[in-house]
Parts: sequence; structure tokens; C-alpha cells
Amino acid sequence: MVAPGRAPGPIATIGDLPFVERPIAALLGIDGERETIDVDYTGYGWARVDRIWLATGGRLTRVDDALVLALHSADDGEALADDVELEFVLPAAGSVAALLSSFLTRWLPRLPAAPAIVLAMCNPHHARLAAVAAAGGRPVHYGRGDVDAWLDPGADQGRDRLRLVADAWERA
Amino acid sequence: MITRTKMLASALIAGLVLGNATGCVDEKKRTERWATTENTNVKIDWDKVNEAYKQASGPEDLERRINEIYEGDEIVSISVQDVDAKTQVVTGFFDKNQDGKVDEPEKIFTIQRTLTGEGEGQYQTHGHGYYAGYTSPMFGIMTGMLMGSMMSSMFMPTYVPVYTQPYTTSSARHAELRNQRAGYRASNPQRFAKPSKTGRSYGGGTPSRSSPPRSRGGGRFGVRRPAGAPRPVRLDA
Repeated sequence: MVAPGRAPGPIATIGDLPFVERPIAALLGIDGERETIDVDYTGYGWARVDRIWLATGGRLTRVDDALVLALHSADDGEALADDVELEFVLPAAGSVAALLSSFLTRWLPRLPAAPAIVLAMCNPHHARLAAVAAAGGRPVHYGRGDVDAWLDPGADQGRDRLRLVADAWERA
Repeated sequence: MITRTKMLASALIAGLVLGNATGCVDEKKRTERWATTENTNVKIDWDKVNEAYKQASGPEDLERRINEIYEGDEIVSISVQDVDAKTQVVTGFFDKNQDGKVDEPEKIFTIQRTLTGEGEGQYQTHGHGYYAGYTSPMFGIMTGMLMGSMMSSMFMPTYVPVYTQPYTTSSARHAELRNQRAGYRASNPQRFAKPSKTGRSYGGGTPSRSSPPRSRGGGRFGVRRPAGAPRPVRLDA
């Protein structure tokens, strides 16, 4: 899965990444009829949603009016206590890596200023993120462990429920 | 790092292991995959229960799956406890007194999952109460098999038991599960239209277009690179 919307070109900086807005269903990979998780999904980008639910241990936390950033950690990325190594599969071929902190510093100022930011991103080394200056005091919700996306049709008072499942959810 | 090929191979091997395990079950202990309760005469399809645990993304997803499998009126509550770093016990029970705790007479089944080595584990299901006759084969599991994150997380290098304090279905969650299941039953009339042995009817009729179907899975937000593939260049600016 490749983020659409921009012609592939040389990616020399984090700002060159084709990190574009996408429909939320496509962004989270829930636009198919799967009953299981697509562990090979590599799509990324952002979307703004009215509501999204963060699930862990059967507990659900509702986040309204959120900017959702879909990012992918590298499973074999460097284990960092307070940061996450991201990997972006490029439209043409290959991939590049970047640290989450660097990515957010570069990209958050470019994106809509939603009241809350949710990172759909695996955090395999259970990093504890520090406050993100570029978030301007807005909460940044991130998970620990694998993060999977689910769509529960009609489960939110008749409307579809977007659900991100992690071992735990934290705020930076 | 696991390639699709490796995953497929692992799954095939696991299938053989599973087949062997099934074949090794003591005939005296083996029971039918279907069992009925004395109270409700409601069947439980144990094959589906075992598969539900394997595929669940977490306790909430497991609750949903189990209650879709169970064909009776009661809601099946779930308790998940990480007994130690290698062992997880899942208990299904009828929380008759609504205290959010597992009382021995309320138990329906327990599933014990154990990490047996690096990238390897196993799980087994036992029935309780009126289901006490059921004991599943010992299912082998290993890294690379297709499974939900509730099970696969134990193979992560950084795995830490999350449910040292048990997760248990809350009474507040019962209403949500009941509504969810009602929608599922309405959308599967071929399975639920028939009356149960107690004469109860579990939905049926014309399926409603607005009935919520099953949850749909999406992406996992990590990148699994094929073994041997070079690591990408890191952009610093």
C-alpha cells in the first residue's frame, strides 16, 4: 500500500515524504472486508476524524475531533527509550527511516490543528514519548506494543466505530 | 523479521503439529466438539472458541467473538489474567451475580496459554461445570502463524504481561455485548432462526440491512522487512 497523491521523487529530507491526507478507512486499512489484521499493511498519511476509540484490555477511550497520523515503526528498528524509529515504504521503491520526534517536529506544523493527535503506530519497544513541542500543548495519544485498526460497524450508537487496539495507550 | 514465505511455512508446520496433537488426544478424554448445558441446553462449538482465542485482538474482541459463538441467552463474561511472564489464563463464565468476578460455579471454560520456548507456545481449553467433559487438544503456536495480537504479543522481544491485574468483563459491558450479538444474530438468520431446545428463538426472519456485521480488520502499524533486506537510510532532517 502506497500513499497516493504525490509523484515519487527523491526523498532527501523528512519534509519530502509523501505524507498526505487520505480517507480514514483507506488510511487505517479498514476499507476491505477482512476479519483479521493485515500485518503487511504499509500505508501511511493523515486524516481528521470526528471520533476514534483507543482500546486496551477491554477498556475504550473516546477521542473526539482528532488528527490521526498513520505511521509505521520498523520492527527491527533501534530500541529507544523515548523515541520510535519509523519506516516509510516509498511509492517508487525502497523505504526510508526517520525518528518519530524528528518527523513530528517537521510535519505537525504543516497539518490541521485538531484538538487531539492520535498516532496509529506500533511501538514495539514500548518507548515513553516526551511532550512534543510541535503539538503546542495538544495531547498526543500513542500506543505501546502492536497497534491494530478495527472498524466495528454500528457499534457507536449506530455509527461505525473506529477502534485502535494497543497493549496500552499513553499521552505525551 | 518474518517473510510471507516463512509465515506460510510456519503455518504449515503448525498445522502438522496441530494435526499430531489432535491425533494424540486420549480417546477417553476426547469429547465431542459440541457440548450442551443442562440449564440451557445450549451448544458451544469448541472449535470456534479455540479459534476465537487464537484470532482475538484483545479481551474485548474475544468477548465479542465468544458471545457470537454462544447460542444461548446468557452473556458470556471473560476474565484474562497473566499468571506469570509465560502463562495466561482466560476464563469464560456466566456472571450470574453480576459482581464482575469469577466464581467457581460460574465457570464455563478456561484456556491456558503457555510460552514454551523462544517463538513457541501452546494453549489448551478445558470445560467446566456442565461443560466439564471437554478438553481440547494441546494446540501448538509459533511465531509467524496468523494470529491476533492478543496471542502474538507474547512473541515480541519486549513482551510484558499486561493482565497481571485480571481483566474482567464489566456489567456495563454486558449491554453492549448483548446489542452487538443481537445484530449479529439478526444478520445470520440461517443459524439463529431455529428455536433452541428450550423453545427460545434467537432472532431470524428477514435480515436487517442495518444490522451490524462483524468487525472489520485493518492494518497493523509496523513494517516487517524480509530477512536479509538492508535497513533503510535514516533521514535526520
